[in-house]
Amino acid sequence: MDKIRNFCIIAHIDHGKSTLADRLLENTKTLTDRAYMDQVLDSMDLERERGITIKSHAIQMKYSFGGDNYLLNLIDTPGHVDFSYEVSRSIAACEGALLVVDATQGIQAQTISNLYMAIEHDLEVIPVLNKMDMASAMPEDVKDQIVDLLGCDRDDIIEASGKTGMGVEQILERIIRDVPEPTGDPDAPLQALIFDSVFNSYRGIIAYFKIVNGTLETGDKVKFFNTGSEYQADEIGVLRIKQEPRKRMAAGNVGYIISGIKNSSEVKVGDTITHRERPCNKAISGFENVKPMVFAGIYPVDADDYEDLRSSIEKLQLNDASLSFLPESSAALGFGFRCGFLGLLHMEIVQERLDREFDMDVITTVPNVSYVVYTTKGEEIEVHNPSGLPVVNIIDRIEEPFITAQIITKSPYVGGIMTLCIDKRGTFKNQVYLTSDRVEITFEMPLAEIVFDFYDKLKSISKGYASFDYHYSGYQKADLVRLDVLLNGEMVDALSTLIFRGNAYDFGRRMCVKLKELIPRQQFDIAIQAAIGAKVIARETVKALRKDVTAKCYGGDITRKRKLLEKQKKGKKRMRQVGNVEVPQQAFLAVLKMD
Amino acid sequence: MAGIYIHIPFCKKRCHYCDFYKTTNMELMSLCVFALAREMELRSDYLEGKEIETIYVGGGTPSLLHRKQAHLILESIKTRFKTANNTEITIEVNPEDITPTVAGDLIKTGFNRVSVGVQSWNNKVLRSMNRRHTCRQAHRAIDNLQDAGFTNISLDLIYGIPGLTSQEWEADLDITFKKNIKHLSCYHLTIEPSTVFGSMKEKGLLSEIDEEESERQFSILTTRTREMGFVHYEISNFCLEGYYSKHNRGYWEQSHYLGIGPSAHSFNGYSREWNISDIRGYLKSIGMDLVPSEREILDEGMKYNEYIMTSLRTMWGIEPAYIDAEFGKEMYDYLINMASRYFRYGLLEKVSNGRIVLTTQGKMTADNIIKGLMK
Repeated sequence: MDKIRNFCIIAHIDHGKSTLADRLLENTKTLTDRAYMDQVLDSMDLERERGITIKSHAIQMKYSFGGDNYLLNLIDTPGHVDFSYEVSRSIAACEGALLVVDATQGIQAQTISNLYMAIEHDLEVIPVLNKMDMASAMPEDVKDQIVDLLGCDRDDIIEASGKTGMGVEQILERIIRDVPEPTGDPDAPLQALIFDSVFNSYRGIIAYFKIVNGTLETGDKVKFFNTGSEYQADEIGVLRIKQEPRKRMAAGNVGYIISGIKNSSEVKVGDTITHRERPCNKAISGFENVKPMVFAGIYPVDADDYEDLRSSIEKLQLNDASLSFLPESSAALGFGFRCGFLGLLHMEIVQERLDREFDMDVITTVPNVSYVVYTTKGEEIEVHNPSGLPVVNIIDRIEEPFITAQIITKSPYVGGIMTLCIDKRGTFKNQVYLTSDRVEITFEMPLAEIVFDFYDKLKSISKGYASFDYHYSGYQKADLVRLDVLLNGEMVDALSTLIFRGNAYDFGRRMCVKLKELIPRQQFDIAIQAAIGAKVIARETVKALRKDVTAKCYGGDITRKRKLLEKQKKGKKRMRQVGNVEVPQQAFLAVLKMD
Repeated sequence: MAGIYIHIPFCKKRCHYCDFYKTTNMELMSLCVFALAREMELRSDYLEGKEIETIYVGGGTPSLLHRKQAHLILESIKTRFKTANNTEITIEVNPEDITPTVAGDLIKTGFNRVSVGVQSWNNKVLRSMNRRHTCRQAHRAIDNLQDAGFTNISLDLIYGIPGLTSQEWEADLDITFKKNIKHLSCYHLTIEPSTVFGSMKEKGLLSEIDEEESERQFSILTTRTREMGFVHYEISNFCLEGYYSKHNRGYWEQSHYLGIGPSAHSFNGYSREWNISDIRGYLKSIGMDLVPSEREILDEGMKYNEYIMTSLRTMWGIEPAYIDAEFGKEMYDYLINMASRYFRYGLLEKVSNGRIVLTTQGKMTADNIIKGLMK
């Protein structure tokens, strides 16, 4: 019987996780030679379509060591901050973790929070110093950071390079030696943790699991504990370069299950698979129903594309159960969807995928967080859109989501970053010197404040030397007002924002200035007003266009003139009509680009 | 009805505002004239036998043509094409070239309309634009043309020039109206990128006058011309009744025309063609009996847009019935729908036969309105 090791890799983006993972696959002959590997990589798109993934999610390697055969299951962790729940489920499926740190960069914020998560789950952490081949590597400094953080022995840190293959054998050895064998009783009632899922257009949803207890066989009748739905295990197997079906899989192993599920929302990451006839009496702990925290309207640029947009978002959702959407309409933008995201980066990914994979031209409105409104009658209403805010006199209080933000930076930038966080209504929580010049700062702040321009500002204040991570820390009461924008007296629903009362005046003023810049002059004066309720708090005017006429339309050269006007006309067509005012699309994102 | 345009791409000096194709290399002039004649021969079928009612020799500076060269050009046209008895034959001239002899030669050669590039009656302004002539030469040129027997004379003037005051502009118009001319083209200065003014603007040495001043000077222009009995028949064109530029109206009313010479444009109802803007390349190509041109075929949308663009600039405006007949009900509805707000703003109005025209106020933002009506 083969021995099993389940592990994940914790690393910051660009710290060389995938190159190092490739090396592991090579050394374990999971990918036999370079040519085969190229071939595999070349067929990535197709593979992905068919739900067979090479690098992401999970992959099993076989390795012999000290006369024993081992199955090494590498479980991938999603690479960004919005998916911290998914990361926690992947970590929960492992007994060990490689902590990969770039020797030229040092530890970053996101690495730390994932590391804490691994330690919380009692994972054995193996520190790896990557990119040791680089001239700019500072192994001693970074080792100091790691020792500080883990309290490990300096000699325990493996020096490696994904590029040259340095240290790879040692990593495999340490995985086998240090990572504990999974415990679990193969005869107990089945408990398998779902840590990920993918959509395959032929086979439906494929869920990835780790069996904590019990044994699963093909054809078993299974039940998903938290959703309560029942299925048949049509196919189970392990994840090698391709999915390899297995007749039975026992506690400790990692694999996939196909059970004819068509809808991604039925498979929830963190759920427990058990048998229908002999269920476990409790689910694996840690399950959460992930709720979107950031919302934005997504509208087709061309109103005729509404149905195309719907089907594109539906298709996206098949692969991304954390994306939610509901139809909504806006007087300014027409018909579109209110979409819910786990966070800002998730929102960017969705926008990017709509553009790249579906070729959809969309306008995204200014994002907002999810608010909870308590009415004077004691009702609790979730508000995902500023225009959905109930009338003021029935509002008892509004609560908004807060986050704990961790920022790691170099000491010269601490002052600037503190000022930024405080400006963003942050409350200082903690400050830790990781090394003599690297500081970890912790703030509690409203999520709404990072939704606007926090990242960009953080980047510019720290000249790029700051890494940022956050997790939700619950709802708190907030003093919010709805700020509306009016163009020639007509409210532009897509520009309304819920905002901290203390910032409303300044924000309204800057918004008017920015809009003045973005709205082209038209045949009449345009009044841009920011208002709270009936009270106008800021105003700018776009003066009427006085002159727009070509002197000469002459000499028979009609073509050049026509092309010029047609080009300008195209720009005009893409504008949205608010009352009598034509508003360019970038105006709807104005607040994101203020200052 | 059809027209022929001949482009003479030679100038002794470049004016600071001009972005028309021209060269100051005068040596190629005589070769070019032969090439023009040859091009006419090569393209004699272009107008499909339509009668030529207008001929326009423009430039550049056509008044640099020698008497015999001008004669050759007109004779070539008459040989290759069918011309009407009352064909309007215009030549553009620079004032400094118009001696009594030249004026006499022009009328003998067969021209019956002259467009004089006066541009301004103000020597300071003329110098700032790098014109070769003076105010005095302009006076003489017009006198000489009238003495030679020309009755159909048009003047070109430029306004909206940085440094030109409203008073000076009004004075320019006053002098103009004393000259007994029948037609007036007044262009607001546009600073084009590939000109001396353009590069000055880029360097921050020159900028467009402010819009209020533009409005004021345009208003002076429309008021003074009206007082003098001139019809404002196109954004930049004015004339006494009966003295419309037939040739230019052809451009705006979808007449067919053949353009001969480097950078000249042609139109035959369904496509537009233009010769390359390069005298040497042109000569070389014609030398091999090839017309060096590019062409675009117009689809319905382009035709509609061109109709809107050219007709709305004239006092005859857009004829909705024509849109209906030519482009169909859908385009007609589109037009009426798009036009409605400009009626509300007082920028468009309906005149006899349901034609849609720009109001005086609308003329200042004609491009914007055209964009609004375009497809």
